[in-house]
Amino acid sequence: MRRKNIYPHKSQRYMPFQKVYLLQAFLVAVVADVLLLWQMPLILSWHTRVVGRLLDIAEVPWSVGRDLAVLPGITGTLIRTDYLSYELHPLYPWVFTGAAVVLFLVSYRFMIPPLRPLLFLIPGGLVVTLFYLKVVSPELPYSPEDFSAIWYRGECYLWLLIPWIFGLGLFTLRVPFRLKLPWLVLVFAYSLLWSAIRLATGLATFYYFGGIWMPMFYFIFGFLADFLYIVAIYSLAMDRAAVFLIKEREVWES
Amino acid sequence: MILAAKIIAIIVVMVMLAYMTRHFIFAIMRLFHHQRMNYTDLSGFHMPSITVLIPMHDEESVAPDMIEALLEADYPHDPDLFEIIPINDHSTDRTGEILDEYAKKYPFIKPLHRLEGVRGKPAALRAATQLAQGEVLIIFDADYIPGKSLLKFLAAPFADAEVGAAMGRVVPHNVGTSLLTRLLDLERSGGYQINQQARYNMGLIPQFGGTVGSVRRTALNAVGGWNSFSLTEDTDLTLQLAIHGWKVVYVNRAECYEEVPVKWDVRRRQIQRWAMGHTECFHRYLGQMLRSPFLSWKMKLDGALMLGVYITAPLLIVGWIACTILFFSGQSFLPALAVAFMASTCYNAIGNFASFFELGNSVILDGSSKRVRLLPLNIANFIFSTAAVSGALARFYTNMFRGREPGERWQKTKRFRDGGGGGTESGPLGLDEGGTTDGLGTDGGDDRSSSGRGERMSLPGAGQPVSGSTHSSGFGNGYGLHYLWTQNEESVHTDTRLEQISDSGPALGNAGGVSIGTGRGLNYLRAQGMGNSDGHANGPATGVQGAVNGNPRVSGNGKQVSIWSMWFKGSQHGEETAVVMPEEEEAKKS
Repeated sequence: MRRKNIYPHKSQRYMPFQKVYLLQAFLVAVVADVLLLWQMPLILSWHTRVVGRLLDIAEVPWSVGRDLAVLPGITGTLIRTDYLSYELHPLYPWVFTGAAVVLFLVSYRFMIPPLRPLLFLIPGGLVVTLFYLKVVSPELPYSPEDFSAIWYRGECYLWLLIPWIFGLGLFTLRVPFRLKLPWLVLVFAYSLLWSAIRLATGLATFYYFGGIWMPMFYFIFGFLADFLYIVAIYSLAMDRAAVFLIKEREVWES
Repeated sequence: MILAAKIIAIIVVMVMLAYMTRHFIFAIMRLFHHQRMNYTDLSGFHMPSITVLIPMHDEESVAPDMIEALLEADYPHDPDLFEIIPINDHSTDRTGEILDEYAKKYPFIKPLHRLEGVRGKPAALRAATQLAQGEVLIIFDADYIPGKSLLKFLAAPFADAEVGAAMGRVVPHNVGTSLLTRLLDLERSGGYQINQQARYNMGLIPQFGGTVGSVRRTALNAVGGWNSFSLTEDTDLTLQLAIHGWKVVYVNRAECYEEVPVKWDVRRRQIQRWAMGHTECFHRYLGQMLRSPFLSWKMKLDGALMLGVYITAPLLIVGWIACTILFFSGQSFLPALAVAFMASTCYNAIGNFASFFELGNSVILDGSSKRVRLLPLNIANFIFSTAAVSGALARFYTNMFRGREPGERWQKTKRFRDGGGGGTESGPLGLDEGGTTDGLGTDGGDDRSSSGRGERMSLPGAGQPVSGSTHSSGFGNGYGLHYLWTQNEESVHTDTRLEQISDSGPALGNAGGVSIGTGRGLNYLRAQGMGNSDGHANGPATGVQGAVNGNPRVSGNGKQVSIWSMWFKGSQHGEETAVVMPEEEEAKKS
């Protein structure tokens, strides 16, 4: 009996390229970016409000800062907070760094090996910052408001990049639109909320514990954390796509 | 200093973007592009004489599995066509004895005992190549388990006179053992299903991996043979062949099962060896490759990126340091630079030198799901590998500049398969005698002590299985090689002879000498919970002579498994048991 669709072996199968899906990917990416650029002031304003609200919950005094031109014609309002002054609390940076180093050394043998280099970044970053504070300058080159400015710029560029990552990675697949768009919406929603939470956490940390934590928030909880959730959501999307494509044999050719 | 940091950061961003683009092109080309003609159609039609080379150093725990799997290969067991040379390379355990026992049984197994000279895989291969008779050499590591048709797949491409080497796909079998094995499964999937196949599709140079690969003897001799002093003789050979105009092809259908490192320290040593060997080849062959008249500019570009892949690890660290300097210099208002740097590094990071979309596409092509959800955790693998590779290359370059040997010589990757098992009562391998005959087998409940060959298992609805409850060295493991094969082949075969046998057998009996089992066999699969949980070793036995315990749980999980691979001649207790291939049996009958 002749089978209607022969499922090619995985070693030889491929998904015939269809221009319509590439077009879909480009359209989605362009439309999403246009929408983002159009609504960016509103999004930044919402972001600022959420950060302010979270700082209120953390009982961190804040005020409205300067306007930042993120992109030409697009401005966002920054939040102004204070650092903990290490002049008043000179031991704090030593205590934080020492505690982080001791904690790392004590827990080193209990950590699984891949976590060691990753967690080393925390005491390592604190040591470098302490060195900078004690040897180069007692003040970091950025105020919390400057840090917010870096954060806003970075996040804005990332939001504009996400539709292209998902567009090329997911929307080119021969999978129904309903299995693609929700993931893009989800990643945006998550990105906005998570960005506000991280920024508020960072500002609260600087207020209570000082600027020594700034590089850690910049490097580890900044873009690295962004890419982690992007990949996490991408992996879920691919998981669902794989489940769909396993059933759709006519998609494949060899 | 700030200027230098900026320049370094820009260079790192450019290099990472180049790699990102390369991986992206691979992923797209593999997923959407028409597959290049492959040689699998010739499988079984072009069968040159082959010699299988298996370097072994203290491999007693895995050697029998490897040999047994090769014995079941459907390549004709004609001594003129088929030869196995397991190389006992300075082993201090029982590897040599095991190989000798097999050699007594099978004339085409010709062990080579190397007890002097340079130790290591390349040296072992070099020595064995001098003895090999086959036109084509097929190389396996000792912990691999080749599928039944693998040899045919790896031999077929040599119908093309331009082909110098062929590489098969490596699939981990111990995936569920630890987080590392799961991550390595993803990495292998991306590396072979996407990377290697895309390179082959695009007419670039697929990498000959040194295992699950075949090489034409004449080509090997033409390029000077194995480099005994290379840490990665496979990369060395790939480059040598490509530079001299031989084609290296990739056969995605030729899947072989390997044991990936379970522990991170073993993985670290492995990747450090690769990094040093690869970088050694980078220095040795980059110039020659770029000047080779046989390679197109695309091949040269890709070859250079392939050779330099491990150098990206220290480069990333240098880039991060540059980024830190820029941060503390108040230069992080250069958002474009910072974002581009972070984005490109993280983009490549998640896939451990393979982009995350490459891994995602490989899962789509493999038709599997769920495992892709582990993708974010690859960040741990990436950071770990970056640190390990950077450390290795620091040592490599330090030694090089001091005029010492750049890297440590060949280090064997530790095996995790449990080699325990029976067989002690009936000779080291249990090849000579059947197992003891105490009914249900006293060791039956112990997963580790039941030996493991699970080829003959029942099929639901295909007759009652023949289950020889054996003592220690009997057949066992309700889930053997063929589970893997049938998963792969998506087919189930029945064996009418087995049905007859099983129908005629009494429900219970003694184990009756069916212990071709090596005393260790594939019991690791069973220990992973894939076997018959009640510990009854479900082995073949004839209904007349052997034990048929009628255990309904023969396949352990009720999955259908193939039973057509081998025919066994069971015997009464104490009689010698032999593996008899269908052709041999027919010959004997006639």
